[in-house]
Amino acid sequence: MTAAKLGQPDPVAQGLLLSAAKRLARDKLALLGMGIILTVAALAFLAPYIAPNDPLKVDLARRLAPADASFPLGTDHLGRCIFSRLVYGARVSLPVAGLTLAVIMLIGIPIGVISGYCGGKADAIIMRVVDILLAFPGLVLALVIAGMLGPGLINVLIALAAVWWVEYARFVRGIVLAVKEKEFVLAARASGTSDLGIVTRHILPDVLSPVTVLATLDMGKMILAISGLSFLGLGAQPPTPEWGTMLNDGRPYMQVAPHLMLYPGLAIMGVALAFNLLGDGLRDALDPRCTARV
Amino acid sequence: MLPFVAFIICFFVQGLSVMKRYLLRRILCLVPVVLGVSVITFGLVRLAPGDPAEMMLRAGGMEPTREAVEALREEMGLDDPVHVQYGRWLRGVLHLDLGTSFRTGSPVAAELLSRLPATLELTAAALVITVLLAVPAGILSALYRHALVDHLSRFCALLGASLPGFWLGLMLIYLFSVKLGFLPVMGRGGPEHLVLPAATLGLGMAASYARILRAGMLETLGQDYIKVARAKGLKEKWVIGRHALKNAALPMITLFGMGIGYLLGGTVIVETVFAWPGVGKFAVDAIFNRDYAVIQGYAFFMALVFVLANLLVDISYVILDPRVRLERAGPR
Repeated sequence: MTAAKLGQPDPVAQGLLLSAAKRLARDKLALLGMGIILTVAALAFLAPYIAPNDPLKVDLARRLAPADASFPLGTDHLGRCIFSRLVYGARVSLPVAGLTLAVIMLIGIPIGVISGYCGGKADAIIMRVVDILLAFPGLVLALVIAGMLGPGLINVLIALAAVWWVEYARFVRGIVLAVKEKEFVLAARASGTSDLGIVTRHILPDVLSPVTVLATLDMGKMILAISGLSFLGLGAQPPTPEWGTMLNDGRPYMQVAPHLMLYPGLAIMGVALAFNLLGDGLRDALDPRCTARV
Repeated sequence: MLPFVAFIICFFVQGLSVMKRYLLRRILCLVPVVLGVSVITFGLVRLAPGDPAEMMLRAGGMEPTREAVEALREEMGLDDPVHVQYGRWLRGVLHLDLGTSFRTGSPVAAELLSRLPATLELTAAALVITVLLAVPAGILSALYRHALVDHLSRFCALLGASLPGFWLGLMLIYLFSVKLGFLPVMGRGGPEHLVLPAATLGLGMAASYARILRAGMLETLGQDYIKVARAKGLKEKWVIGRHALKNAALPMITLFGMGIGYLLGGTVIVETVFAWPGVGKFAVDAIFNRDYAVIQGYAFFMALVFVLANLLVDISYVILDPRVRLERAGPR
């Protein structure tokens, strides 16, 4: 604690992080997941240099064409390059999923901390609201909210955040309830540390590592939920190259051009799988007791 | 008045068994939750951008003239204060009146109930597929830990958690209906119509349930009573079937409660992909037609089904596990 007060890194925390990083580095599946995520992120970042064609350029003369040198995965029903649309699609799917998760955490973590740390009436009120929101099947409520707000990625973000923050609030509350009774928190309180100081310096660090694991696993779910709502027509609107929308666009051409549905689906599954692998690996690395994978 | 009511309730409760007392408390706890659900459901219409009456007219293909908008607002009671509107809506709900569908002109409750059997049929079939796949996979991967079957089961669980349901459904249609011609493409009819949508819904869930059952089995297999059963010379299939599986399956019941939420959400997409005439497809159609009464009714209805399903799961858990029964009833 003294070291932290002097602004120096805590050697114990550093040691724990280092050993977690070593465990993660030994997990081949987690590394594979990280590799896929980094590759997709690089593709998204370098899309203008990597995509061979304009993802929005319509060329009806080339519609539903098979793969060739200039169109590596063929073209869609409007003659647009599928590969270019997939690459540019990563620029939509990944940031929107990340942003939605960030908003969820920004709402859920503080509410969970307040609920767990303050207890009393604040906790009772928050938990009743959580109970009520949990009474809805998650995707049903998200669908209804997105449907009411109207199609669009921002509305999908709002709908998912309105439903999903509850999970984080409840998760964080549980951790805070356990941590706030530990000796180091009691000692900090006895030494006159303010509530804000206790929360930021002693409780939040304990909250962050399990939340990181949960968030990594949820990134996969988020990508699936966003693409699912886009598939239903509530997310990205044409001609935006979003993977779920691309899949929905390809549905009428299933018999003649199944590749229109194949590649966007593989992209969604690949990225979701990568986040699940990394999340699994992070959970094992950050909690060495959890050696038996479920 | 209130103390008298409290006294009567206490008197009534004292005479009940532990189980019935738990049930009563559990049901009473649902009252504020359902009320909260009703407030949220009612508030959903206020999320719609612009004037709901105008949006409905536009969605219905009518020109939203000022007179038409005002007439519809009057009909929908939108000019009344919000609490009056909520009171009216709640009174209607208590009388099983969820309003009238703007598109079909029929009562929403009747529309939802007429489509519920299709959704329940799909959900039940998906649950059967989940159990048929998850139980053998879970047991085998626990018995042959770190063997090929275990690795395969883990890989399937990860894949199942990452598969977009709508994509899986479309791929199954392409393979089994378009290419092989084994099964019908979409719609509801005989059992052959049910196979693909139920598989789409059940496969993802089966994968994760198999892993959870495996973890439960591994924990149970290390317990003393299993060692005793083996020491007594019981056959392995009896040890597994009668002792281990029964105890390892308990967490599965809770998961089924959570799974119902997943299934109800999943039916929306699966019903849309397979043109299955259930509640979910009806809701998606209502969303695009701005049929607010249906959307509102659907959300409330689904929450009610979810809450009741979880109540049943809780009750079955208490019946099956005496430890939980005593713990929840508290000291007597």
